[in-house]
Formats: sequence, structure tokens, C-alpha cells
Amino acid sequence: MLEAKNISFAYGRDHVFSAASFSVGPGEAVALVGANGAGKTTLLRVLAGLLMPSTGHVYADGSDIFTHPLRYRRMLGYLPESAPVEPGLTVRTYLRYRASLKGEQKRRLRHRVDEAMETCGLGDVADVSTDLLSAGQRKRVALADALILRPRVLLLDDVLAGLDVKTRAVLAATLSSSTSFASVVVAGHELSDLGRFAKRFFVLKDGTLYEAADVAAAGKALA
Amino acid sequence: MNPVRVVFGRTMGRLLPSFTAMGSVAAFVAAASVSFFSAIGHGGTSPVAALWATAAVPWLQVLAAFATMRLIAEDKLSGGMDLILTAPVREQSIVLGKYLGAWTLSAAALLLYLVVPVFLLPHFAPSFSPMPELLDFMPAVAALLFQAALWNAVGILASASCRQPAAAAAATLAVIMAFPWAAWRVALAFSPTLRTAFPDHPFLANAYDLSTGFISLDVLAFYFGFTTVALFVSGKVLALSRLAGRGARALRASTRAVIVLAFVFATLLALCANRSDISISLSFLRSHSDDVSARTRQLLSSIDGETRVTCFLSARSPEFRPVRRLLKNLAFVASEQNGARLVVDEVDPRWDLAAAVRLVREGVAEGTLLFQRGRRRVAISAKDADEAACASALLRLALPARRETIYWTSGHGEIEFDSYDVRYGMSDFARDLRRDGYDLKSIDVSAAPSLPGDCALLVVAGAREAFSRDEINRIDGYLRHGGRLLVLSAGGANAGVGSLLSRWGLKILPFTAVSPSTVGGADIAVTDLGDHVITRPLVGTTLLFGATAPLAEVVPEGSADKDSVKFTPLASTDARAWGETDVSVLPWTYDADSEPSGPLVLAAALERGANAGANLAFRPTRIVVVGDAAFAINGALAARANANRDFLLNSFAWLAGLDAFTPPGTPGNVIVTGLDRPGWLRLAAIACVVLPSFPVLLAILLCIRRRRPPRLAREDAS
Repeated sequence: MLEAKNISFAYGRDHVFSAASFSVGPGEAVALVGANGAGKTTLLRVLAGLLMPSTGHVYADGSDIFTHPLRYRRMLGYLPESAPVEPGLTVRTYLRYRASLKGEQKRRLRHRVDEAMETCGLGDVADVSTDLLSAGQRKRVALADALILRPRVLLLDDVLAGLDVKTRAVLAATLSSSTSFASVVVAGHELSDLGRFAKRFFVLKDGTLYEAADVAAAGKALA
Repeated sequence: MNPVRVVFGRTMGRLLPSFTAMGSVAAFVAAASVSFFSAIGHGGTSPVAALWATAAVPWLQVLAAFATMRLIAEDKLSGGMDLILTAPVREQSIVLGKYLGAWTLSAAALLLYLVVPVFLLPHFAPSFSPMPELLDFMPAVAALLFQAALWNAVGILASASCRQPAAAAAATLAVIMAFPWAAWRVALAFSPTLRTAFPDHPFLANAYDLSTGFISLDVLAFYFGFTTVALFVSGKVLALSRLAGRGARALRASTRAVIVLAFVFATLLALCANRSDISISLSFLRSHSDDVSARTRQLLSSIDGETRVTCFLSARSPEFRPVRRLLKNLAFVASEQNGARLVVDEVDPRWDLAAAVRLVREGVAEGTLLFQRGRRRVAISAKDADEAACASALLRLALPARRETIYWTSGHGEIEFDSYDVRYGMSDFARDLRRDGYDLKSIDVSAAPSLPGDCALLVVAGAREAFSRDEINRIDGYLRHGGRLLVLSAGGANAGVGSLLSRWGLKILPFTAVSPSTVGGADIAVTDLGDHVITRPLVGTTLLFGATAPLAEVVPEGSADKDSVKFTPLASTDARAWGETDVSVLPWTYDADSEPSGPLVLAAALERGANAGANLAFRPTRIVVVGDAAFAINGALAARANANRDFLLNSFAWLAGLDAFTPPGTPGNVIVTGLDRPGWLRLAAIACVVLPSFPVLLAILLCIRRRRPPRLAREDAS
């Protein structure tokens, strides 16, 4: 379970958001929406432990993520907006490297990699260099990386941005089928796509986090 | 899996196909090889392994800057660092893994560079002397790996601190090259004593010391301390990226304070180690004989008995380390040669109060090296204590107490022995003679009825005007009674004592020797040395002659018995040389009709009555003639590494009758490449083009393999 209590963040004098509180239960997916520059990415980076909040705390399974960072990172899957993928490797090698870095045992690596590639539909490009992948394929590789060790907390930043309709549908289906074990926070703009797997919606506007009742309410708040 | 190993493996996977990294390796090998060839091409007596190491130091710094610049900065730029930082891995593990990858690349580059002296040099220069062996380079490799550890750590720190790889490389080069160089220049400008403490830039001096097995605790502490701190701080810099928000102000401040304290700690560690002044010399790794000249080595092997050397010097003195190192080497070489037993005592006036008081009461000032043999003693200032000074002190103690007097003719345009002029003075060589126990006096032969009775040796150095008949007769009379004469000819058959020499069976030819075997174009490099007591110890070394008149053996005038005078060529050119009639007309061309062809004798020894002298205690007449007046002028001795000084000192010893101290010995230790121009070109082409192409080819192959579509790969397999 992921829980944010009264967190706020500021770069110097510039407040990004303040007093944001919410919780995400196991198997629950929430969508974080907001206009460009509203602070969605910063909020996700705080939740990922990449930025320390100015005030408040983030708890995962009851413990502060900055007090026990390694324990938290073992249960974390994170997909940044740019979906960076290490160049010069095949997809299989890249995922193997990422799983190794996350501490997976050597004997389980092959199974984990195959499972992640199957989940994200990467079987056709398993031996293709990451340099030759399209934007959609790179997104799927980054998602496979985030999912590879079945994280209990999954943070996805603009996972559907810049993709064509078909790829977005595939990715959305992948997410809804594979996130039953995790507390998922997905940031983005596409309410219709997010609505396929998110049950709750949070709107970040003017530095304040609101919870919207449904997709329509979220769209109205964004307008 | 161990995260350090995972990051290390990925780092190597990035570096090997990288044209920046592998191109840097190739450039390193090429540039370091050029520097190495330049160093050995100038000769000198430094160990080859030390030259190999010092040639690589600046290029190793450049390699480290370029190999590390992308490792973290590029990840930060692409966002990949966010992924790495969300993995359950400590920042220090990330830093360590990337650092080990960069350091391994430096190690691989060094191994490739090691191919040059260990495999290419023996293959392309089989007559290279002294020929190095693989084991000789182990301390040098270790020294460079130790330095590479620090350069790469600084590079990782710069990469962690910058977002742009180019900025990281520039920062690395500024920290490890530009800033230390500028600081060193400023320090030298304000503290001239540092010149004595470290003749070279400290990083070069460290590489030289370590590669010759001389290990100081302060050097180890400096490199180890700052490498550790640089890596520690790199991890902290990555951790600081999490503390960008306002709420983490206190944590940011404390992290920065820890970073500052870490650097303060490393500085204090290096300073404490420097004050402790603990050092060891790994004598089993090398032959100390390489560190002293052939002449000193022979001197040490020639004398026996115990000589006690007291080094009355504070350990804080800038002269202390080089002097102690020199004395240790001399003592080691002496024991290697089964010759003199040197016992070295160090008396530090700060600690050894009783010994210091005793020395002061005996009239020995602080900063003195006191050589004692029985009841005799010779003191030299530590500031002047180089190898030649110590060898002279040992020679004076070994010789009888009487000092020989050398008379130096004047009044005919001779080069003056007490002149400091670079082109017309020989003060540098005169100082060596005085150290060796000779007294130098000037004499006008025309004013004296005969030569003084205490004249052990007469020197005619570069006389441009002819001696009068009376003067010639006086000198001839002196020679016929067992006199000794050294002539440095200014050219011309009749200039100076040319007419006298023809009476003794030697003629100075009216030509100027020219040869394609040259170092600077106008000089002649001579390696063909005669079989004589003067030149035997110098086999393998190079003599450099300037405008030199060739010499020829003739029948002595007024003597029916030619065999009474023995003519021995000491130095001769190769067959490609010839005697040029007029060197002012360019280009020089050989005229077979009127000009003598090589080999030409440029220096010769004449001796009459050698056999009788050996059997009947008869004092034989001895004459040494060198066709070049500027053979030992101050400028010639200082300009290049050559054996001119040793040649003349051996000549003086032979002329003065000190044959016992110039016995046949081991080959000299001056580096001789034995390569002609085509040989150099072949070696340079292999070392600077072919060898560096291997890492580039490896990068190309890996890139091709990486970019090949899998479908094609499957088709190839089928």
C-alpha cells in the first residue's frame, strides 16, 4: 500500500504542489491528471524517492520510503516520461541487465525476462537492438522493465503519450491485466485511455491535489 | 547479483563499442609511444621502464577524462540515471561499478602500450641497449595503474557533477592537468627550493619513483586518499540530486559539509604521510646498476675496503630524499660489484643530537655529506651532491693523498678552463677534474724555460694559433721524458701543436668530418669506439663530435722506428662519413678525388714505451688527441646525453697514470637505440598506427554486430 501524507514540494521559492495526501491500496490503480507543468512528474518523482518532499511523508507498506530506501526500491517499478532505454543492447539483454541491477537472482533471470517480454508483447523484438526500436516499442520495453520483478508499487509517468491509438490500446490492456498485484499511480492526459484501468482520479491543479469522482469529473476539473 | 559487478559489466559493455572511448585508447597508445620514442631517442641514463612510464602520464590523464566523461553525465542527460537510482542499489555501488569499468579501460590501454617496449622494441631494434625485459616494467605498470586510479576517480566525480559529457571532460582535465601544472609553476616561481626537491612535475616524479621501485608513504597516501575521497564524493553528489527541494536544505548543507570534510581528511592524510617521510626501495625489482653511470660503477668495483658516508642533513631538507636515494643506490651498486663497502649513516640534527654535536665539534656543518676512509675524509655540500660529486669523493679517498697538477696552456687562443661561457668555456669539466683531485693551473709555455716539474699532464685545448718552434721544442722535451699531453684540436694541421703531433706519429687532416650519422645535423654521433683502456668502459655509449678534424697515423718525424709509438684510434666514424674540404658550401657532397672517405678517426691515443713502462717502472709518454676543440665545452656537456664527459675523465685518468680505475668493465648504461631513420619510421608506424588501430577495429566490429538486424543474423546462421 502506498500512502502520501500531506506532502508538498518546492524548488526554492517556487511551490510545485502542497499538502497532497492520498493512498493507493494493493491492486488499485489511480490516475494522476493535470495540465502541462502542473507538477505530475515532480509528484511521481517524489513518490519514487528521487526527490525528497519539502514537507510530509510517503509510506510504503507502513514505512517511510526515505527511512528505508533500499527496501522501498525493491518493491518499486518506475517508468519515467522519457522512457529511457540503455542503447547498444538487445531488448532481452537490456531487461536481463535491469533485472540483475534490481537484485534478481541469476537462476531466475531468464524466467523473469521471458515473462516480462510476453506480458508486454516484445517477443518479436527480443533480439533487436534497442537503438533500432520505434517509440512505441521503447515504451513497451520501459514498461517491461518496470514490471519485470512484479513490483508492489508501480509509478508510470505519461506512459501513453506520443503513441498511436492501437499501441495505446495494447499498452492499456497490458496494464490492466498485469497490475493486479500492485498499487499503481499513472500520470497522463488521456482520460479516456486512463479510464480503462484506473478506478480513481486525482487532479493536480494550481499546486493542489483534488480527487475526482469519475472520468467526467476529472475532465471537468481539468477544463 | 552483486550490483557493483552488474554496473561494471554494463559500463564495459558501453565503453567497448564506444568510438570515443576506444578512439581515446588508440590516441593514448599513439601519443604515449611518440613521447616514449622521443625520450629514448635523446639517450640519457634513466631506466627505460621509467621513461616508458613518464611518457604515458599526461596521455593517461587525457584518456581518463575521455573514458569517464559519458559514464554518469550521459545517464543524467537521458534520464537513465532516474532508472538506476530507483533500483535497490546504493549510490556508491553505482559509482564504484562505473569507476572500475573506466579503470579497466585504462589498464587495457596500458597493456597495449606495454607491447611497444616489450615486443616491438626487441623486434625492430635488436641492438637496443640496455634491452628491457617484461619484469622491468612491472613496477612501472603498477605505478601507472595507481595513477590511473586517481585520474579515473576524478573523471567519475566530474561526470557525476556535470550534465554535459564535454563539460565533464573539460572539468577533469582542468582538475588533473591544468590546475596542478599551474600550481606547480606558481610554486616554482615563489619557492626555488622546490626545484631541488622535485626536478620534475610531481606527477612525473611520482611515476618515475614508483616505476623504479622507490615507494614513499606520502605518495601512496596521496593517491589512495584522494581516489577514495573522489569516489565517496561522487556517490554523495548523486545523492544530492534527491535533495533538490526546499525542505532538504539542512540535508544538502550537511552533505556538502561531509564532502568538504572528506577532502580535508585526504589532504591531512597526505600531509601527515609526507611529514612521516617513510619510504622503501624495492631493490629486488630492478638492477640499481642502471641508476649510476658506467664510470661510477667501475670506480665502485675498483676500490675495496670500507668507506663510511655520513649524511648530516635534516629529513625536512629538500635535498634529503634525492641524496638518500643516491647514497642507497651507490651502496647497493657497490655491493653488487663486490667492490667498495659503503656504510651510510644518516644524522638528523633534530633527532640524533649526540651525533650532530660530535659532527659540529669536528667542524662539519649541517647539510654536508662526509665521506670517511680510515683517517681521511672528504666533505661535500648536500646541495652539490650528485652522482659525479660522490664518485669524485670516493676516488679522492681511494687515491694517494697527493694531488696531481694539470697545466693548461694559454696565449694561443685556447679555451679557458675557468670560463663559464657556454661556447668558449670549460668550467663544467674543470669542476669535475677538481673533484677528482686534480689541481688546474694555467701556463704560458713561451714565458717558461721549461715545463714545471710537477706537471702531471699538459692540456692544449682549442689553440687556434700555432705554437712557436721554441714552445714546440719545450713540450717535445717534456714528452720525451715521460710527459703526458691532451690536445683538443681546433682544426688545421699547423694550428696549436699540430707540428708537434706529427713528430709523434699523428697528423691532423685539413678537412672537417661530416656524416649522415648525426643527431642535430651538424654533429656526428660516434658509437664505434676503439679497444683501449679509455674507451672499453664506454662500449655501447655515444660520443658527440662537432666540427671535427679527422686524424691520421703517420710515420713519426725523425724516427726510423715507427713501432716505438703506438697509435690507437679511440673514436671513429662509420664508412658513410667523409672529410669535407669546405663545410661552408652547401650541400655537402663527397669528392672521391680530393676528400678522404670514412671511417675517419676523430680521437686517438698515442703511447710510447708502454711495455717497458709495465716492466721497468718506466714512465711512458702518453698523448690523447681529439679532433674537436668544442668536445667538452660547457654547452656540449649540457646539451644532450652523451658520454663525452666520461670519455675525457677516462682520458685524464689514463694520462695521469690512474689506469687501475679504468679497467675493462661492463657496458655503459646510456640508452642506445641502434636505429637508423628507416628503422625509426618502421617502429613508429607499427606503434603509432597499427597498434592503435586494434581498439578502433574492435569498436567497429562490436558496432556492426550491435546494429545488425536479427533477421539477417538468423539468415546468416542458417
